[in-house]
Amino acid sequence: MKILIIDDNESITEAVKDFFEFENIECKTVNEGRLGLAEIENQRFDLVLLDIAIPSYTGIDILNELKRQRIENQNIIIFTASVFTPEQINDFLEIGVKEVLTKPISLDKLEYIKQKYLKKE
Amino acid sequence: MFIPLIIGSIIITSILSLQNISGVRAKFYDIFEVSGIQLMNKISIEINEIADDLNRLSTHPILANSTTPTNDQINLLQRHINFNNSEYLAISIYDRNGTVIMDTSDESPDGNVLQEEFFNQALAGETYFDKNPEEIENNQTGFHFSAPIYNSNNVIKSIMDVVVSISFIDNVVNNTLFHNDIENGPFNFTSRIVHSDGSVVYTTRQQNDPQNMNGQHNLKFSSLGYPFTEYEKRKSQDSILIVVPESESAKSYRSDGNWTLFLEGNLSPVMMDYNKTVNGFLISSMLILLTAIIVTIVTVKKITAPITHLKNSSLELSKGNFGKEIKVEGSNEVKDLSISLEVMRRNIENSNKNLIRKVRERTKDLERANEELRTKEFQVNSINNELRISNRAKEEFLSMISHELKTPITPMKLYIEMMQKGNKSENLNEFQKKALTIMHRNILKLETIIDDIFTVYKLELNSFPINKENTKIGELVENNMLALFPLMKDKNIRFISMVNATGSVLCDPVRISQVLFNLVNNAVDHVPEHGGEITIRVDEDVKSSKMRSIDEVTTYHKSVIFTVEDNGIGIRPENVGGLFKKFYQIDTGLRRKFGGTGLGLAICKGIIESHGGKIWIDSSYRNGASFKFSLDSF
Repeated sequence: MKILIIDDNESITEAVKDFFEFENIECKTVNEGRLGLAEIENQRFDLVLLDIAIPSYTGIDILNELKRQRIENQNIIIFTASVFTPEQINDFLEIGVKEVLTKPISLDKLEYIKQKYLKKE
Repeated sequence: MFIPLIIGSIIITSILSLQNISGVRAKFYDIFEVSGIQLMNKISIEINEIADDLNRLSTHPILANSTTPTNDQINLLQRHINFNNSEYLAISIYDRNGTVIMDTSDESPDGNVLQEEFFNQALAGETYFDKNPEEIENNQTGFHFSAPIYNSNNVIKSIMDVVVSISFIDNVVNNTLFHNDIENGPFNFTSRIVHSDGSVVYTTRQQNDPQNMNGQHNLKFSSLGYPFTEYEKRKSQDSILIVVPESESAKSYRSDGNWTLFLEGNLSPVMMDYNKTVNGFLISSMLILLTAIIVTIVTVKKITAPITHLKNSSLELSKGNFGKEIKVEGSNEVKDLSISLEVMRRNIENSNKNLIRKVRERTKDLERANEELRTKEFQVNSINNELRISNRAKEEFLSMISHELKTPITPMKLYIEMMQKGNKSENLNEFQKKALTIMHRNILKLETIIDDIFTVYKLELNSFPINKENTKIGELVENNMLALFPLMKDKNIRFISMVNATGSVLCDPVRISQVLFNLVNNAVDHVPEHGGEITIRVDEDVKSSKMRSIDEVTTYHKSVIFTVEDNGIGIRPENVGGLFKKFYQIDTGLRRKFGGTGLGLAICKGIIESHGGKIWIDSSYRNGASFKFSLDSF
């Protein structure tokens, strides 16, 4: 099990990473858009937690690039503080956007993700 | 209307004048007739007198006595001619053989009178008047009157013949008829005596026609003829012809025929004069009438013209044309009326002008105001636009601030919560646990403050999204009880819910939860440290307001009332008014006992009102504070 966390705020990525690592789930954190994209391009993760509001190269840029490169069937959960319409979600369904959760990230939400997407077989 | 009257009167006058003309002619005719008869009578009388005179003379004893000397006899005769009748031209005495015995004239008449009618008639013993004149001597014309002279034995001894000048008729005519007028006056008439054998015996001498004096006596007056049909004809031509036959009665003599008097008058000068007079009268009357007409018309015009003018002016006024000045003229009354009307017109005109000027001014003002309004509108629009832009910018800024404020909290909160979680907290000592609890509570408070600020500004900017959905009342309350329960932990507050309503409400459950959180959170702050009690209650609204739907069917508008009650210190009545205002807190200043932004109730008010509901404080509740809000239910 391996998840990727992309968020410009290091504290947040670290907290999320700690949360999942307590649960013995391998986590990789990236705090920059292009690096995040490169990670997804390089290897497959069981789950990607993607922040949208990343400076210089945003979550939307990453999604668009993935769509362009036809890198599909990922498990991506979007975290955003802004409103994300169902149409926007539909655009990225092939890539593998599963769900959009509103920021701020809370312990409850992480618990929910763990339960829903990272159940140990 | 005057003109036909006047014309009619002229016609009547003319007819009367014409009738008068015929009347005048008839008068003339009467006068002429009477004159003619008189004349003829006088002539007859004269002739009779001459005959009588002759008889007297012929029976004079001097003449009858044969012994009387011839000289005496001549003297008698001469005397007789000289003193008796100046018209006697001569007296002759013939013997039975027709030879002249005595003669008063100087020259003795030559020839024998044996063949003469007058001689033979006298010889037969008659007094005879030869009505055919005969030319005697010295160009004189005369008539023969003859009578027998008897001797003492009553035997005709001789014949006496008296020649009477024709001028005796002149004398009679002149004495009878208006002699002067004949010659000088306008009358122009002729008297003719015509013998029954047709010859003209006598014609009046005409001054202006001396040719008629002679040579006409013997002319046959055949042109006249009998019967006198010409009379009528000539009468109609301004001339009158009167025919008077000689009276047959009382004739003391014998005669060879009868005379007829033809009195012929030419009326044309008279009638002409008369006509002239009448015409003059007619013309003058016509002139007078015309003058009268003109004067009448002018006068009437003069009287009516101002009235007509006034009438027309009034008509103009009634049509609303006040611009034309009304002339002041005519009689005093009309003048007064004109003046009044003119004054009225001027007043109206002035007020009209004033009105128009005022309307213009007002219109101008209005236009100016409109222009200002347009400018203002434009300004308002641009300001609105700017406001919209600035609102959006503000909203984006707030959103950004909110996000930026919350972002650092997120990891803090995550770590604290992770540490507090069951299996990890076992390793913590009491101090650490207490620290974590306090930190966590304050982080939550900070989050609330940030959310409140953001919410209140969004409400203010009218960009607060409300997503209404059918929500079951029971579920709504239960979910909120669960979510709010942690707040009760610290003070050990009794948290009760009472749902006395069924059905659903149309609302945004997230927002209603926000309201309930605010109200309950406030209550938590205000309940006493021990024995605190907070109740959430839902009741059906007893006084459902009546609403009239479009199809006139009365439907009941149902609603439910949510109540959040506590047993805290309550709210003093004087503080109730401003409670729902932004940043309002009962305690202000440095001595603030309770925290919070003071935005909570303002947010609640905004949310409930956005739902079409109401929020208020139940001031009748004495046991603490009681907040109530209503929501539509069905």
